[in-house]
Amino acid sequence: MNIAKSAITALIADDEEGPREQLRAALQRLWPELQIAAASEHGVDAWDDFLAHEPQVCFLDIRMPGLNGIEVARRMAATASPPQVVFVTAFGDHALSAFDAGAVDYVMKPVDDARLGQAIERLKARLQKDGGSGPDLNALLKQLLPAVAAPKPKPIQASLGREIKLIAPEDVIFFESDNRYTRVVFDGGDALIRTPLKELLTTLDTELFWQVHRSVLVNSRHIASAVRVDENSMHITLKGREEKLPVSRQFQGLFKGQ
Amino acid sequence: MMNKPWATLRGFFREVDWRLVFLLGPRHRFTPEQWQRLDRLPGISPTIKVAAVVNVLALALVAALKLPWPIARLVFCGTLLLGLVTLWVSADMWRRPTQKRLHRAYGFSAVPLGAVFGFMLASQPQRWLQEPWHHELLIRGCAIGFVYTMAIWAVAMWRNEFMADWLHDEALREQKLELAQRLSSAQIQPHFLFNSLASLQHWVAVKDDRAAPLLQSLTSYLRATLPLFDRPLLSVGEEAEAVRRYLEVMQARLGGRLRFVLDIAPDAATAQLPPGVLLTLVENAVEHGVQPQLSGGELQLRAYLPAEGGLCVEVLDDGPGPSDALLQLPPLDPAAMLRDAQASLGLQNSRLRLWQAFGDQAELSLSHRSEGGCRAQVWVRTSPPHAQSRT
Repeated sequence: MNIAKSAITALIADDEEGPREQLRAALQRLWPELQIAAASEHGVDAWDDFLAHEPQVCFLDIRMPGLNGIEVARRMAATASPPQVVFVTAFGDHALSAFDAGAVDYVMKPVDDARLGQAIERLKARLQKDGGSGPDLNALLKQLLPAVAAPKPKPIQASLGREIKLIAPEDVIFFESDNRYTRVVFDGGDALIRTPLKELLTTLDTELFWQVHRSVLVNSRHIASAVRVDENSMHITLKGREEKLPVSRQFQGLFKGQ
Repeated sequence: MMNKPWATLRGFFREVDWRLVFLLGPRHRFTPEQWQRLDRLPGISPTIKVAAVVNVLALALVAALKLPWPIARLVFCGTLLLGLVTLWVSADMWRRPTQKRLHRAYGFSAVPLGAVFGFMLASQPQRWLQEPWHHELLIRGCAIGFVYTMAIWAVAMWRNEFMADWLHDEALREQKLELAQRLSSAQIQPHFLFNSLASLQHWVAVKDDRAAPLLQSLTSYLRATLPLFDRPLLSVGEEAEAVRRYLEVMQARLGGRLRFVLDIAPDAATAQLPPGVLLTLVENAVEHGVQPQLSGGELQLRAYLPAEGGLCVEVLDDGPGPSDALLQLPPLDPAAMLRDAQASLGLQNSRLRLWQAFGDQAELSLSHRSEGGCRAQVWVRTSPPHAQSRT
């Protein structure tokens, strides 16, 4: 990998400004060469910022609106370049006891320099070794996260001129980010909605809707094939449609072609 | 129709404990953990030991009375030996009064002895039934055997019942203790405290102007909350003050994401409630109603005296609304609450406190608001009291 040359980048996610900035200041003090690529205000942003910046290190708060820290970490672990994750938690978080096994690193809020220093040393060691995540982080996080009830699918409301159209989520073929809007393509037309794609992610059934790109969410039932164009790029074709949708490197693992 | 008397009869007999009817022995079974607990019971006291030995000696003397000397000596020794065996078996029953052990003890002692006795009787019936002192010996032997058998049986039965009662009492005592501890320590959540300190630490370090007001709110909150639980009842106005401090801290931490309105009617402010109830409802609303929303939310606390009497307190938020499990709260069962630590612990504690203070006259319920969000309501039907109506 190309870690040796470029600086190591990091993402910090906490829904409260105080702890977020405290961690940022502590990191700048203890690990000056670390570049903080993003400081996200909640789980949805954290996931989106991760896709945008692909940092090697992520510091995640556990209790965050949108997606909690463990959910974000699980999604990250499933991508092509899973980052090193350190959870930042306050005393009393239920998942804490599971971390004592040493498999997942965590620091407590308010962050103290000594403990953060240890975590940084471990991060550096692991990054130097191979840059990949050691144990099967995904399986581990699955244990930590109590089964979340599938969100009730709500119809998507899209205004078409004067009419407001209700679209059942399963009828949608794909969603695509389009500047400040999200384009909804469904059986029989398309429409623009104001809900950002990254927020839709938390309300849709992830078994049905696959994120294949930072700005594309596709109904897996409508995928016809995935076509590898060259070493790095891939796109998918849809059943009975002309569009080709890009698959970013992070998500190419979805299509393994056994 | 025909089956009904039959079913009644069956129901009646199902309630019969056949072990007791047929004198089978102790009825309670204990788990290994319970045995471990039971080992904490004190051992047999010296008084009981001495009394038991004196009784055995006395019985041996009585058994040997008025018999010819050589036979009397034999009877005395035999009875004494049997008595000591009985004491040894009883001591075992004292420690582990189970049906299995009782049957085993009988299998090793009473049954072989009875068989020998029966064999002697059957082989020479004339001698044992006719000859005067042989006859006397037979009767005394039966009586002594019966006394010892019953002694072991009684010890096992009594001790088994005693242990079951003791375990029950012990469990109740522990429940009470745990409840008291949980009620007193339920309120200040370490999560809240440490998160607040994290913000504070940073703002102090960077000399942010928000540090001083946050510290002041946090201090006032702690000052208002710590002595809160020493009192059985607290006025709504006093607790609303603690709630305001709490909300100020949260507002400082969450920035623009939390908005709140406190609306306490002046006549409702003097009404009394068990401490911590309002604070719990507000904490729940912040945690489950405001914080999960990406753009934050608004919280309202209202207290008023409704026209139909009593006191009504409402906490409203505009979040995702209560989960289905919280809409239908189960009947209040203090014992069950202690058994399984539930997610809605704060809520259950509040219900328990309300129940302790007002019995059936108070009600805590959660519902969906028509405009979205959750409504937590406490309704006390009687006019608020001056002191506790129940202990």
